Parts: sequence; structure tokens; C-alpha cells
Amino acid sequence: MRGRGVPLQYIIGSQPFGDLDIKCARGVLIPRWETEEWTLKLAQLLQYQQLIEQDQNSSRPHSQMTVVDLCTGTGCIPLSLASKLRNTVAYGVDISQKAVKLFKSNIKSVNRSRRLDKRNSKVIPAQGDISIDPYVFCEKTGITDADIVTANPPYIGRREFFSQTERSVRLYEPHQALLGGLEFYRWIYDLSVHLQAKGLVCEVGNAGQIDFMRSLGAKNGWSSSEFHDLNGHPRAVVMWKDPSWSFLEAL
Amino acid sequence: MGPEKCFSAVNGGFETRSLQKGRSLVRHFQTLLGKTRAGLDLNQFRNGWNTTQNREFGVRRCYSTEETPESSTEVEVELLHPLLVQKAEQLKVEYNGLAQEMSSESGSGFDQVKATRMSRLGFVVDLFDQYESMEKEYQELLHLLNDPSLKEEAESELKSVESNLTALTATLQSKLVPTNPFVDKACILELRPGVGGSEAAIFANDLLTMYENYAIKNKWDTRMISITKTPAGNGIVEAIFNINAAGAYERLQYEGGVHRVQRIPETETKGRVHTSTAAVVVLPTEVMEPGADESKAGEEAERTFQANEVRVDVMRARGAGGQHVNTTDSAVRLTHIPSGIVVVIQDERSQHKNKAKAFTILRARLDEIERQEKVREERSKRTAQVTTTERSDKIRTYNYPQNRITDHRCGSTTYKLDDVVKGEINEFNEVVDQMDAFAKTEAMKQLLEDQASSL
Ligand SMILES: C[S@@+](CC[C@H](N)C(=O)[O-])C[C@H]1O[C@@H](n2cnc3c(N)ncnc32)[C@H](O)[C@@H]1O
Repeated sequence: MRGRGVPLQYIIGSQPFGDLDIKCARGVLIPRWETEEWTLKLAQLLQYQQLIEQDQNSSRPHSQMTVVDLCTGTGCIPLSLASKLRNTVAYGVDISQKAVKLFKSNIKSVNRSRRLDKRNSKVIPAQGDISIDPYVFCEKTGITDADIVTANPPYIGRREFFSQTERSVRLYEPHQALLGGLEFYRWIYDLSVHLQAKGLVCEVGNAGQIDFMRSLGAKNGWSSSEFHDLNGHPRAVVMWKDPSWSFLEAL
Repeated sequence: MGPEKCFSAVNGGFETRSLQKGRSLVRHFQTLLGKTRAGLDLNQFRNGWNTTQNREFGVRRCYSTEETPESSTEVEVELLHPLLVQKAEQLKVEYNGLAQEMSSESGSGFDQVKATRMSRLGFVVDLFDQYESMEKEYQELLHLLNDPSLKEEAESELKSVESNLTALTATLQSKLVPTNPFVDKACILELRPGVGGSEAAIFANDLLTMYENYAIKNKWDTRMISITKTPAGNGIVEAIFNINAAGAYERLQYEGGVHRVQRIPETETKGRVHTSTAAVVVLPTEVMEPGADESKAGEEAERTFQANEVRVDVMRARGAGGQHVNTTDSAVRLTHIPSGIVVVIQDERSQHKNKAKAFTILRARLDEIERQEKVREERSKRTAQVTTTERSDKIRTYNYPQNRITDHRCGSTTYKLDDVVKGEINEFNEVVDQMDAFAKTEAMKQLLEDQASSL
């Protein structure tokens, strides 16, 4: 199978992601190391922020944190964040039934290690389409608000898809998880505003997508920065509405 | 144990001896003592220790088997190393000198520096006086064992003197020898083949097995950080191995250097003995809590570097990356820019873990370089010439046809190669102990040469 270009992770059935072993199955995108890189960094930043907060109001009970990950696929992002943070509810939303099913099974296996319970955190799966009206979206998914929104939406354009993707990606990974453009960034931004998110981190495939997001936010008082991966490629746009979330700039 | 009696005056420089049937161990011991007591030169007796070099540090073991050869009662006492006795004596002279000065200068005012020095010395001199009188008592008691009518009392008395003496020795030792800050550390071992082609890779693998077994037999927590096997599978190109146990570094610190093997390789048809080598690097590390997150250690190590100090390279630097490619190549390459040290880890499927491991190793390597720098600096402060013991090219030879291991630094030889390479605790420890005793003697010699002795 491997000889025919089937990705190793589909054969083995998993891919390491931080400390987690994320289950993989055909029909759902395999998590990338670039995503792992920024997710772990983000987890560290939020972890650190929680510590500071705890220091400042040691008398009050720990405050809750709500993470909403859009286009969640295997759920690698919310699972990573929730397994590192305290008192966190992390939602993961995906349009694909296959993805949600795999996500649920990943939640189960992470739960087995008690990583989430120990921190009083949980991960909630939801099926949903981010392109629909935000009110309807919230109704359907049961999500009412967010402290931080994360997303790794499909970001490969049609032309690029044939010229610049790896054969095995093209042949074996779901196109719904790969093909997309600026419309996804618009939906994510609108939802973030609707959920009154204080911060937003969104993976990108090129600098144009970053610029698009930053310009959307700038009109409404969002500050922003960009994240480059270990290979030096622009990889994520980082935005914060609330000045107390400017620590995200360190990503 | 057979009817043969055994005697080992470790500290005195005598090899373990098997005495002839019927001869009394104790009497034998006393003859030796008699000689020294007859004034035959106690120092020579003590200095004998230096020349044999292969005895344990500061320990004199005495097995008394008289009358009950089947159930030998082991009497064990620790005496101060002769070089430390010498040092204590020096300090005593200094102390007495200071005391005299202070009393003769009584009119000219109080010298704070001298007073502080004196009170510090006073503590050690006091301990040493106690030690000397206790040792005298000990040797008298040994004498009394000769007298059948007093033997019983002498024996019970001996027990308490022995434990007191051992305790005193330990206290004095800690005051006289600067403590090694690394004794409680865990360690990382790095192994690589040297000259000799595939046979060298096989030998490197044999060494790895030896260390692994030794660790397992010690019930030490071990972890392979990274291993690259040769295509044939019986050798290694490189192995990085973590022993996460306090004291592992203390036991393995002398393993660093080039190990040489002499044997007939399996592939050799003409039966010729080949010589090949493998290199071992030993790095002291902190002990990680059991169950502690490996990548957390890496993250911590990463935090010890400045933002631009380390370049991180990952594979597949070409192309758009991200969703466009699905790489299973998770190798990470770190370059420490100031020193040029490069660490590549490609062991795990997880790039994150590879990076964490690489940072752990980079930190350990740099710490070790720094430590060696410090040692060298201190040494050159003391003496102009640097001893050659450190980093001599071949540290040990493993001669399979003769079942022999020779350590070239301390000159000791054992004919139990088979057990040592199996990682048998006792046999391996013997090799280490001999080197340890040698290293400690060397260190103490340095200490004594150090005129501006700090206390
Ligand atoms: C690039 S994948 C990211 C998966 C995962 N977050 C990761 O990083 O590995 C994009 C995901 O978005 C989902 N998706 C595509 N269109 C969507 C939509 N309109 N609403 C919600 N999810 C969608 C796909 O099913 C796919 O799982």
C-alpha cells in the first residue's frame, strides 16, 4: 500500500501530535507538523497566562476558558489545548461526519489517560457548517461564546491543488479538507466576532490569507501578528480584540 | 568459602591473598602491623597504596575467619586515605603555627583573618586528633585479639571502635576533599563506532548492550533517546541512551573516551585478530522524576537558549508545506550557532518529540563542555602543566582472545571480560572502582600540590 503512495498514517492508524497519539483514518486529514508546532506554542502561552491569572486572584476560583476550534478534523487542536489547560471547555466543529466520528473516538482515547479530568477540562464534539448564518450555527452546535477561536481551514486553491500538492495528498486525503480560499477566512472571522472571542489563531497556506484576515480585523479594532513555521513559511494569523490578550503576539 | 583464609588490607596496598591452610588470618595481619609498629615506616606502608593504584578508596576490608572458617565474620572499617592523612597533618602544622603567632602577637592587636582561618582549621584539627587516637585504639585492640583470655572483650570493643572510626573518616573526608557536585546526577551516554568499519559498529553495539545490561541489573530507569543501526542490524552508527537514575553518572563517568577491541570478527575467515574502536561520551544530566514528561524536559532545555542561539532545521524545507504535503519525515536538526555543535534526531515519528530530545541533548553537551572547561581552568590555575590522564586517546582495551580488559589510564587489568561486557554488576564495578580509586588519588595529589589550599 505504502508503495502506491498511501500515507503511512492511514496504514498505521495514528500520528503523534504533541504528547498525544491522534488516530487517523481515511476520509479525514492527517494532522501536519506545522499545525502541531503552533498549537503547542499556543498551549504554552495560554498555560502561562492561566498561571499568571491564578497568581493574581488566588482567592477566586479558577476562571473558565472556552476554546472553539473550527474545521477540527481529527480534533487534534482542541484535544491538545484542553489536555494542557485547566478548567477549559474546548469545542471542535467539523462539517464532515467521518471527521466528527473520528474526533469522538480521539476524545475517548485521550479521556482514558485522565488527562482532561485531571485538569477539570473537557472536549465537546459538534457537527456543523461554518458557512451558514452565525445564529443558526450557534443554535445547531450549542456554542454560545468563546474566549479564543482556532482554525485550520482548507486553504489550497484549485490551481495550486494540482500543481503544488504532493501526489499522495491529492490521491488519498479528502478534498473537502484541502480545497478552500478566502471565503473560509471570512466565515471564521465573522463567527469569532459573533462568539465575542478575545483572540483568534488561524492557520494559512500563504501570506495573502494573512493579509486578508488582518485587514478584516483592523477595521473593527483587532490587533494582529503573523506566525512563521520552522521552515520560515507564513503559517498562521494571530489576532486579538481584547488588549489583555495581546500576549498572543508572542506566538 | 573454603578452608582458605583470605585477607585484604585494601588500604595498605596488599592484594587479596589466599592464605595457606591452617594459618591464621589475624596473626598474619598482625605480623604486618607488627612491622609497621616496629617503626618500619608507616608512611611507606601507606604510600604503597599509590603504586598499586587499584584499590578502593579509603576502605580497608578485613575478613576474619579464624576458628570459624565456614562462617566468616566480616569486619569492615574505613580509614582515611593516606594522602588525606598527609593533608590533615599539614593543616595541623599550619594550625599550630598560627596558634603560636597569635599568642606571641597578643600585644599587637587581633588579626581577624588569622583568627577565622584558625577557627576553621581548629575544627578539622580537632577531628583529626580524635581520629588519630581512635585509630591507635583500634590497632591496639587488634593486638589484643592475640591474647585468648582477652579476645572476647576485644572483639566486642572492636565493633564499636570500628563504627566510630568509620564515621569519623567520613566526616573528615568530607572536610578535606571538595565534594563532587556530580555524584547524584543521572547521565546520557553517546556511542559511536571509530576505526574498523563494520566491526567497529558491532563493537559499539556490544558496548551499548553492556551499559544497558549494567543499568538494568542496577534497576535503573533507562531510555533510548536515539539509535541508528547499521543496515546489517548487528551494529550501530550512533546511539544516545539515557540512564535516569541518581548516581548513574558517578558509576559511568570514566567511560568517556575511546574503547579499543581486539578480537577475531565473525566475518574474518583467516582467523586474524582485528583491532577496532568505538567512542563513548558521557554527559551528566539532572534526574527526571519518574513519569515526568520527556518533552517537557526538552522544552525546559529549549528555554535555556537565547532566541537566535540555535537554528532549528526540519526536513522538507522546499515547497509550500502545510496541507500541501504530508511528510512522515520528522527529523530535526539543531545547530548551536556560537559553538557550531549540531544535533540531529530522527528517531520518533513525532517531530515535536525529536525536537525536545535534540534540545535535551544539546543542553547536556554544552553543559559538559562548560564543566570540562572549568576543570581545566582550575587545574591550570594550580599547576602549569595539565595532566594527561584526561582525554588520553585509548582509555581501555577489550582483548577477547585473552578475556582481558586493560584500562590504560590506571593501568589495571582484569581477566573477566566476558562478565564485564555482560554488564554483570560486580565485575563491571570492579573495573570502575579501580579507575575511581586512581582518579581520586590523582585528585588528592593535585589537592596536596595546591599550596593555597582552601578549606
Ligand atoms: C485542513 S482540515 C483541518 C483538520 C484539523 N483541524 C487539522 O489541523 O488536522 C480542514 C477541515 O475542515 C472541514 N471543513 C471543510 N469545510 C467545512 C465547513 N464548511 N464547515 C466546517 N468544517 C469544514 C473539513 O472536513 C476538514 O476536516
